[in-house]
Amino acid sequence: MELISGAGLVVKLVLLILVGFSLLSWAIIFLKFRVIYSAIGDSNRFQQFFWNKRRLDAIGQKLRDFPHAPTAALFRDGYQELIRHQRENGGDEPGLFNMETGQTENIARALRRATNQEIQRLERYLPFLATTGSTAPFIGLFGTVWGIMDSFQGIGKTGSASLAVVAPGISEALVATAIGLVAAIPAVVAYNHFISKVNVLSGEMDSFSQEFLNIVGRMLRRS
Amino acid sequence: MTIPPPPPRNEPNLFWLLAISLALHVAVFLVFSGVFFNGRHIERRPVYYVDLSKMPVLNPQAGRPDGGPAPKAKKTAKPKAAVPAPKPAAPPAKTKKPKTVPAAPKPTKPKPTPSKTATKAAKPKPQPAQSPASTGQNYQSVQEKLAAMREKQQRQQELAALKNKIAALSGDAGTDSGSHGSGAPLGMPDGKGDEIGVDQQTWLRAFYKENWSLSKYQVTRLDLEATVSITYNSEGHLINYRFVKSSGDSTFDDSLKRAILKDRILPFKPGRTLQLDVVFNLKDLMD
Repeated sequence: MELISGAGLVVKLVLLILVGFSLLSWAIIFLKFRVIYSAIGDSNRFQQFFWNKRRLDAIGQKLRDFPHAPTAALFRDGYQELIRHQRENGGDEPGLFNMETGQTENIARALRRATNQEIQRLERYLPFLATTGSTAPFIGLFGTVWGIMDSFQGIGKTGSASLAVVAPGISEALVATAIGLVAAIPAVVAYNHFISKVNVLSGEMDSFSQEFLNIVGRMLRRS
Repeated sequence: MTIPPPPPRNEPNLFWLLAISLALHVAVFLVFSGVFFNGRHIERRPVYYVDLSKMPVLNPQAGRPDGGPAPKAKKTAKPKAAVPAPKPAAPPAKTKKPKTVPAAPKPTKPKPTPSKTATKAAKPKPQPAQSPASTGQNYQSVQEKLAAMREKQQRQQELAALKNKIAALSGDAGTDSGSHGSGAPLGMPDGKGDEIGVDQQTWLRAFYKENWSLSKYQVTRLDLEATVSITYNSEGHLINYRFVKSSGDSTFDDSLKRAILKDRILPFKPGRTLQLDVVFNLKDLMD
């Protein structure tokens, strides 16, 4: 407490910025924790449900049970595209499709678009964690350098370079680096963790897209 | 064949999470700033100041460790009361007229402003000296005046003596509150022996306090307390020390080690193996 109150104006300003970074990055950590883990949970449940069902329309009716699953969002977009083509080509009976082989491209594009949207949603605010992780130590370092400059000026004025004169100023200046690291370390750890989870989900979405296209292709060949 | 609309995704509000984050930061700040610990009531033991230049004794007498010679304030107070006392008795008894008469106008002699009125007032001095015996009335009035003056002087002296006594008493009260040299006999409050001085443990505690140092910038909490068992042989050599109860703060523990090891040989010989458990309290040490 004394270290902070005894610091200079610039160091205090740096500390304030760092505390702001830390506050926001922790809020984002909580948010992303909730969003990504609910997405992983729902996605796992949806995939189990998907592979246990044989009919696409039956799966489509139960999508509300998996609100956070990105694969469920992919299925919705892909299936909607499929239905749209079926309607355009005059198909009435549910589960039966009348499409030419080249038209699966439309479904693939819809799936890609949905994948991008989901990845964007999952990665939202994560760049702020990366920014905090990379800049907070430098901001802290700036505060420290400034504080040490002030401290050396004080030494010059007093004309004494004893430890008792030098140490307090340096100690107060180093608080800025310490707070910078305190803000940066959780942000970097959380960023790496969440990015790895998003990559896993992204891989799952790619796999699901391929599987969905395969199923649609098989259905078309059968029809 | 239709698909139900996508369900709303109940993602948490960022502002709420920001508030939670703020609360978390405040809590962490409070924990690290020691607010929860500083408020805790710590029982304060009476603090005695020990004169380290006087070596400790085995069987101290009853008294106070900060006792010893009378303080300077007392020395100055007593002579004041003693000096004015003899003055009144001596001059008035022996001298009769001529010496006392000029004594009365003395206070009316203001040196810096020698005004005319003052010189006029001084003029009548020789008049009573011219014929003291001739006029009986004059003599009588002078005697009365003299008696009144003596009485007044005596009252003033008594008042001064009383004032000095009060000052001396209040000086004692001030020193009793915990400062050095109360005037009480040098010893220990629970002393039962007959030697003048403090006991070895009290002396050593003051000795360690003297040797102890820690920068205020290294102090993170004030409620640190450690118990160290220290052993000296009969020659006063440090044989062993160990932490019976660590403070949990390595910086504080290191500072205690330094204080203990600073003087491995005591300046006195205990005459027996001296084993003591010393409780080091950071607040006491910083006082």
